[in-house]
Amino acid sequence: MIENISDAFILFLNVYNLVALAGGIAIGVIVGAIPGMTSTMAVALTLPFTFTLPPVTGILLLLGVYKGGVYGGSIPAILVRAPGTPAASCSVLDGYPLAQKGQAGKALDMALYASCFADLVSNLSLILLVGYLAALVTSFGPPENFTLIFFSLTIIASVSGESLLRGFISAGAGLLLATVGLDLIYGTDRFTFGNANLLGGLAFIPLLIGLFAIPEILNGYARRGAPEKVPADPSGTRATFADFRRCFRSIFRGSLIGVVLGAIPGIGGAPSAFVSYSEAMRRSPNRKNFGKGELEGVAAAEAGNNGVAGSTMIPLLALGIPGDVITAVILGAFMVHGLRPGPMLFEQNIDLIYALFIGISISSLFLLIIGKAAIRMFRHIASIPMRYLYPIVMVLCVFGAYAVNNSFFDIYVMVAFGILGFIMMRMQVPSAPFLIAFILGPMLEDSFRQSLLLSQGSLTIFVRSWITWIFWTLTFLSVALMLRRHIIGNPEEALPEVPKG
Amino acid sequence: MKIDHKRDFLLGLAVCALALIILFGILPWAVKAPKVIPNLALSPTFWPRIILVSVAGLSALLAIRAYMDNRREMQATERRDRNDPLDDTPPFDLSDLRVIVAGLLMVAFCALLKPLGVVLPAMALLIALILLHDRKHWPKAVILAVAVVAGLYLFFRFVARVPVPLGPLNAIF
Repeated sequence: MIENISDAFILFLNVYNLVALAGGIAIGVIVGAIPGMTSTMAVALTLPFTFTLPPVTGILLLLGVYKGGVYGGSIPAILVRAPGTPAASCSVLDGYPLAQKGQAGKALDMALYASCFADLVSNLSLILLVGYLAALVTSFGPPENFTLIFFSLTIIASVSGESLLRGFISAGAGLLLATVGLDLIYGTDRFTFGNANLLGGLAFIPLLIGLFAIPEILNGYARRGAPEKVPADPSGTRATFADFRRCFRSIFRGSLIGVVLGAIPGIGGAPSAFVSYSEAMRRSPNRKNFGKGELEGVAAAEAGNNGVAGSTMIPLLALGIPGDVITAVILGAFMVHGLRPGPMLFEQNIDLIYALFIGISISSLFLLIIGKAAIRMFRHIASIPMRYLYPIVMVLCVFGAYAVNNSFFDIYVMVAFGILGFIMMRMQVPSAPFLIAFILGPMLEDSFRQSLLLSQGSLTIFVRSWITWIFWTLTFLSVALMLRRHIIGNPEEALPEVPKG
Repeated sequence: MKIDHKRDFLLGLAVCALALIILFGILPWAVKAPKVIPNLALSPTFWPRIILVSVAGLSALLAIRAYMDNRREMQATERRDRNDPLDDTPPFDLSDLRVIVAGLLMVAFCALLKPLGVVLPAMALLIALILLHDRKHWPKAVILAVAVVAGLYLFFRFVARVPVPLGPLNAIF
């Protein structure tokens, strides 16, 4: 154990790792702070730059972008009433009224302190819990893996938006495209049409960039002429230690809510922020001020939102299943570096895991420093003209896609999926289920077929152990809950209305 | 038909038709399976078939639901006000040509990659996309295109060691 930790320190204590983490957080905060740019897009565009980096450095860079993006979204939510990320939409409720009262600085400070505290709690929970969960999973065989992945596919429901049917159709398309390439058992072609570029399947990164960056660029042309919002002045009164102490209960509670909800695949930051906010509103003596500019409301929303940032990594690292879209992208990043998250990673690359933990622990401090600077610089960030930004992002996409395999074919794939993603956006078909199904699809099929090979075709293998029964029960409960939510409605609707970014 | 229902109805029909075309028209020759397989579920065609049947079913359900919802709402509207106008706006605003032009520019860029490499078409694409937003700032667009593409080329060529094709510029550099 001590030897592993010392190996991890040797692996981590490298100036490039610190620069990558800080740079990643800065990129994430900046992108998160620009309405119309998403954290997923930032992680997707950063991914090609990690190819030549060592795995720890590359993954820390992406984690930095993720964590920075989660916080960055709150800055425009408070200053211009336009949440930079969906998870920051709850911060609008009290953040913007505070900004209108001339207390934007106070709201931004509290958002930052609550974010950093929740991030720290979330990181500690990740470090403490993930090892135990991974140890539990070492006894899994193909049928257990199949039921686990089948259960994790239910997260598609939570990223499907308004229509479950459209989400499932999107996931079906992702599963189908994941079958392109050589069949793993018989080695025969599937949907390759004689094209050698398709023998290894569709490359993940061009598809990811295409689906998540290009539709935003194209949509930028459709949005032209929309009135620009004038940001509130972030200077003025600042949050004090007394303010932090007053809001501490809500911050701590929100952090724990974030940790618990974040560890469950598919929940994500936005519901966590709303649950934390509604709990704070229910228990606060100032509940009447919620929605009108209550500092505790900003603190609770941000704590709930950022509390998931570390714990979403628990199912990813321990089980190898993504908790949300961004962790799905990070799962892809692990694979690009030849690593497969899950219990085997703990057995074979424990020094890498500990090095990541060290980096993740420091990330809260970096977030505090960079977040403070970003508040002051927001006016400059917000003033970057979109007419330059989107075309530059497009060229970045081109180089990123080409760098995967040094192939023009990957650029064609990126453009094709970009256009498909834009059509999906216009038809209100969510692209997140497509991506998650594309990543989980091959694992699901492999474990299914391996199980049948083991059982010589008997389907009873899928109920052979208590673990499979647990996952079938969880799948059943998850499906029942999702149907209930879509039929009866969402409890978030009871909260004050949140504007769309 | 109301716009949401029309969109879902057309989407459902289109996806269902596509899934059926792939299932019966493309899959039999695009997915090769050995002649003798001990278990049907182990066949390379099994998984794609299951997915395609599910997608076809779900999309048909989407179309039927959109049709039924629309019919129910139409009847309710008729009862309330027979002259209530319906929203016939198409889901795609074809008057907004800039999006289509931007998409076509990307396709044209792909066509230029083989003859011209990555660098020159990327510069042209960047300039064209900036000008599509705002035609007044073309000198800035040119300077920005050269600077950004050159910066990215240098990064990928010398830091990431990715041999980005220069195309005709190879003769100069």
